[in-house]
Amino acid sequence: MRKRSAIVLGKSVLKLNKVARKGGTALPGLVASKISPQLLRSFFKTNFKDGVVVVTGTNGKTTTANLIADIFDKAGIKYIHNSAGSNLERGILSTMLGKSSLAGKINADVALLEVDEATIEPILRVCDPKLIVLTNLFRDQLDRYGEVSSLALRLQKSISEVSSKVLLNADDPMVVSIADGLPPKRVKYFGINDYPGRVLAYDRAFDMTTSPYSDSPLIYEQRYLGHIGRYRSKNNDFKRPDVDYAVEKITTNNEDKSNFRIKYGKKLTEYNLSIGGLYNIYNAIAAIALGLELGIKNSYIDSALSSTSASFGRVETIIYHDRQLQFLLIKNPTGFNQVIQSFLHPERTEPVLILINDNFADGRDVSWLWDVAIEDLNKYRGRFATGGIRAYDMALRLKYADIDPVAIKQDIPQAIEWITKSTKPGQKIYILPTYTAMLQARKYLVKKANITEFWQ
Amino acid sequence: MKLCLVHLYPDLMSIYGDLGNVICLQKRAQWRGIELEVINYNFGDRWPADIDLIFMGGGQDTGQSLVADDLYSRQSKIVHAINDNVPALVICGGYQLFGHYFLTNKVEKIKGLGVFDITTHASQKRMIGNIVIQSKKFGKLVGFENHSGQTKLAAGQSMLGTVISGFGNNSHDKSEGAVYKNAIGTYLHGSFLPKNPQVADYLLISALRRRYDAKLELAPLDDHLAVTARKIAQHRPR
Repeated sequence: MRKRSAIVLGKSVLKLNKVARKGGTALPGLVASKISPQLLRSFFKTNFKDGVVVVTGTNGKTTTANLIADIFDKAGIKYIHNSAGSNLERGILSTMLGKSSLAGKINADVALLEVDEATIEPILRVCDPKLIVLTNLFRDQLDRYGEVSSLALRLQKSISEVSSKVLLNADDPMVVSIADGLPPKRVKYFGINDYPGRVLAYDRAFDMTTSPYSDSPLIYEQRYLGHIGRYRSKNNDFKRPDVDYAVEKITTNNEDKSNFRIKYGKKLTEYNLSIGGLYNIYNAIAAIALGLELGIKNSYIDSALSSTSASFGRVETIIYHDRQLQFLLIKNPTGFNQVIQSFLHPERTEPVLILINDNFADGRDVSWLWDVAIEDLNKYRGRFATGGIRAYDMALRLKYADIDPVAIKQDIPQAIEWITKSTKPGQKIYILPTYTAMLQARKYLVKKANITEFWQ
Repeated sequence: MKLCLVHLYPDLMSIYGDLGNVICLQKRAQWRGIELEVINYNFGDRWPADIDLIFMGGGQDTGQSLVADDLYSRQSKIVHAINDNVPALVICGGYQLFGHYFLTNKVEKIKGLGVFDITTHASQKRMIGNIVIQSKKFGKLVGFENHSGQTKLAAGQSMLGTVISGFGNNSHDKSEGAVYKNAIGTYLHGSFLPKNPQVADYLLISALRRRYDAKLELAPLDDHLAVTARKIAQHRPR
C-alpha cells in the first residue's frame, strides 16, 4: 500500500512539475522517497530482467551514457535512461516514477544509469549492476565532493561490495587503482595505445603522481591529458594494465569526427564516430566495450556511433541569427583542458565566449580556473569574451595569460547578444559554459531561436 | 633584476588553484621587467642555494602527511630564511605545517616548522565557502576556504585579519591567518593573490628591497579586473 501511494504521489508531483515547466527533475523522486525509502530498491527488484548498467566517473558520463543509449536503440533493446542530467539517487527515482505503472512495473529490460561518482554508494546499496563503467577520475568541485583520492577509496569500497563486472579506463591510474582487491575476472580495461594528437604544454591536472602502493613516482611513456596516458611507477610496483579493448590506431580526430581501430581479442575493428575530440574517443571506447560485453552486434555499435549527435549542451551546435553557436561544456580543469586540446587549436580564428557561474551545481569555488591550461590559448587567433556571475574572475585568468578579453558581461543573454552581433553571419562561435551557465544560455536561446526544449 | 621563488612540493601540495598564486607573482614581476625564476622543490630534491620568496599551497591529506617529514628536515633552512626576512606565502595545508603541529583525526601529531606560533587540530566540522576578511595591513581580502583543521593562535601571534564572513582559523574566534616578519599564512586559497594583488605586490617589493635596494618602488599596474572580481566575490553566497 505504501509503495503504491508513494508512486501515486511521486507521479503527481512529476506531472505538476511538468505543467509548471520548471524542468526540475529531482523533486518528484525526493517526495516519493520520503514516503517509501524502499521504493527505489523495489523498482530494481521487480524490473529490468537483463540488468542494470551504470556509467560513472568525473568527465564524460553523459556522453558515454548517450552513446550507449544510441547503441541500445540500434540493437532494439528496451531500456530506461536517466537522461536529463539527473544523476543523483533522487533523479534516478524520478526517472523511474515517470516510466512506472501504478503497480510499479516499468516497461524496460535494461536500466541505463548515469550516476554521479560521488554518490554511487546509495545506488549500489539498492541494486547490483551487471556492469559498471568508470570513465576517469579527476578533481571536480572539491567544495562539494572532497578530495579525489578519498573519493577513489570510497568508490573502491562500494564496488567491492557488489558483484558487478567493471569496465575501467586503463590509461587513468586513479581509475586503475580502484581495481585493487577485485577478482581479475570482474575487471576489463579499455584504453588508447597510441595518441598522435596535440598535448597541452600547460596541462597541470595531474591528480595522481605516485603509485597507490608506494611513494614511487609515476613515469609516463606518453601523456595524453592530465594524468591520462601510458604510465608505470619508477619502482615498477604499479603499471598500466593490459588493455582488453584497445584503440590501436586513430586515423582521424578533428573537431567534427573521429575514425579509429579497436583491438579486442584477436579482432581489429574500425569505427567511425560522428563527434570530435580526443575525450569523445574515450567516451566511445567505453560505450563500445560495454556493448561488446553485453554481446551486442558490432554493426549496431558502429552504426550508432557514426550517426550519434552530441549530448545536450556538450558538443552541441545551435543556430542563432545565422551564426553557429557551438556549445562545449566545461565543469572542471580537465574538462576545460579537453576542450582546449580538441577544439581551440592555435591556428583557429573563431571567437570564444567563456561563461562562468558559481551556483551550487557549478561548485561555489572558482579557483579551479587557475588550474586550467589557459596559457595554451596564447597563440589562438580568435577573440575572447567572458560572461556569467564570475565573468571577471575568468577575465582576470585570461589577463594573467596575457590575453585581453574584448568584452566582459555578467549577464548571460547580454553576453550572447554581444558575441553574436560582433560576428558575421555564417560564422562559428565557441561558447564554453559551466553547467548552470549552459542551462541559462540554452533557456535564453530556446526563447529566441527555434530549438527544442529538453525537458518536454 | 631577478628574483628566485621556491615553490614547495608543487606535485603534492597544489590543489584549489594554488598555482594561480605563483602565476600571479610571476606575471606581476614580468610586467615590471623583473624576472621571477620558479624553483619547484619536491620531496627529496636538493635545497636551492639562494632564495628570495617561498610559496607552499594546500594538499590532499595524503599529500600533506607525505611531505611533512621532508619539510621538517628543511626546518633550519626555512626558519633561517624567514628570520632573514625572506617573504613567504603558505596556504591551507602549507599554513598548518608552518605552525608547531597538526593533530590529525587519527591522533597522529604531524610536526610542523614552528614559523608561526600556532597549533592545529583536525575536527569533524568542514569549514567551507567564500570568505571575506578585513586586514589592517592589506584592507579587505577575499578567498575561498575548505578545511577541517581548527587553528589556534598563541597569545602574541599576529593574525592576517578579522573575519567578516566565513570561518578563518577556526569556528569560533573570528581570526584569520597569521603573519610573522614577511611570512603570511592563510586559509584563503586558490586565486588568493590574483584577486588580492596588494598582497602579491607586498611579497614582491619585500623580496626586491631585501635583495637589491631598500628604497625600491613597484610601478603601478592596472588592477581594475581584480578590483571588480573582488567586489563580486564579496557578495556571493557562502
